[in-house]
Amino acid sequence: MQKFVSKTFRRDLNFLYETTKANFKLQNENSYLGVIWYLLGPLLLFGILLFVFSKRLGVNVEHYPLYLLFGLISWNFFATATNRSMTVFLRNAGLLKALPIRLDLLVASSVIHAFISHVFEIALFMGIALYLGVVPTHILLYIVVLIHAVIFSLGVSFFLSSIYVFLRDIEQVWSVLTRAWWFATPIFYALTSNGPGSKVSLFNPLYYIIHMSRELLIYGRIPGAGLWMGLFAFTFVSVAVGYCCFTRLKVHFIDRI
Amino acid sequence: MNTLPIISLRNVSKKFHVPKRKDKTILSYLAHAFSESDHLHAEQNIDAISHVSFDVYKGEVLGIIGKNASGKTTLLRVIAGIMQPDSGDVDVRGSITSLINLSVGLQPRLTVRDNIHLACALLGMNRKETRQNFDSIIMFGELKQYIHMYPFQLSTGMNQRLSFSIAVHTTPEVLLLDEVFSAGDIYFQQKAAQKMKELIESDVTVVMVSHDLKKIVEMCDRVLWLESGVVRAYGPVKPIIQDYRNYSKMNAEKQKISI
Repeated sequence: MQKFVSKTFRRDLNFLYETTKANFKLQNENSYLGVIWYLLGPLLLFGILLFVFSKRLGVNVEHYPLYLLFGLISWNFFATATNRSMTVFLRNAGLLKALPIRLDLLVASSVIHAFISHVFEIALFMGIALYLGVVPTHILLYIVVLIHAVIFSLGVSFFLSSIYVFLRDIEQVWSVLTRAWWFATPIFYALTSNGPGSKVSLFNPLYYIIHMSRELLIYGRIPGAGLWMGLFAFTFVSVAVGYCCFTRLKVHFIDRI
Repeated sequence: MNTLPIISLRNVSKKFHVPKRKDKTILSYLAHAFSESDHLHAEQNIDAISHVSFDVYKGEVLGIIGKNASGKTTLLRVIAGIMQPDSGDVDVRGSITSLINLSVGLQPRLTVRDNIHLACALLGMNRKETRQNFDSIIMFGELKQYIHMYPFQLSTGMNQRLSFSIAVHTTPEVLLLDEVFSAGDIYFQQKAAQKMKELIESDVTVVMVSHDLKKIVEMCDRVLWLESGVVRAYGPVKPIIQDYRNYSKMNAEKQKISI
């Protein structure tokens, strides 16, 4: 039994590795700058927002450039992962009809693909932080938050990719929703302690991920227990709902793609 | 012969659901409200396969024949676990490799080398197995000098050779084949047939769909004739193939008269 488990595990691991590698290679095919393009997009937005807001919204925020950059790259990971996963079954329709492959691994593979670009962004962030004289502490605790960010995105991706097979409108809905969500999340502005945003943000999972990471990496403060509980809860709900939805619907996928 | 069948199907049915409207955007609803012509067509269910039952034992080769759209590929997909049947039981004991469409799994924009790694992973090999089989796959497909090229630069026949070569190296217990003997030129077809014979002799259980009746007679132990999703005949190869030939000839003649 153990041998069987390890065999399936190694097979699944290889599946994840090869599909992620293929996605990565296909994305960088015939591209001279390759990985640098992933960084240029967020960096450009970062430059513009910094130019516009550093004397306005960012005046009272300590280390505003880092604050802003971290918000942007965290959001970027979530948006890329969910957008790429949403269409994964349709994009691979031919494959799904010909081979019995693990559909959940296919979703995981596209989230991991986005995660790898995110790792480059984090490395860039760390470099800039060191350059500005901020030494990120509490890295281990940050990794815990990061893992939750990945699992949270995975849950949302399961949900979106399953619904997308039946309802193509979800792509447009999601694009509008994420735009609104972007503004509702303190990415380029900071929350005031008694403003309406501080209440609303308690229902915003991205707020937990971004705020806690900033506290740990930029300000060297450990978030309180309430924030940790919120993070765990949102991650759990996301995976539970997303995976449930996926397992319920997956038997019908093949008839619809 | 082993008493437990490797593949066992009991009363398996699968319907395809065709929804009432072809297009169902809100705009189309509005457009239809103002137009005279009726774009609606009745909601219907098409029986892809209905009440199919059979057993395949270890080392046996089952051929599936029938016209286009008679449910052959759907049947293979149900056996492979790609599709769930609406009713009935499907039981397969052992690892499956399905070769339902030879061209998928190959990415035109990845090199032959990367494609072999990817396809092996998709077919369920781990890294070690992939590495062990890599050279053999290249050798069998005769693709040594093309390893750094892309499938879009290779001919169709070479792509098929590559896919076939990867698939036969997966060492499955159950092999599902859909019309794969047309891969490559006559020389490679013979080579492929030879490899298949070796596999069959090594106790692999095979279910194959083919329009090449000569191949079916040559390789299969039993044959299943599907007609509009229903089993029309199931049993020994020669008499059923003879019936099938007569039936096809008769149909062709009928067509001629009606024209």
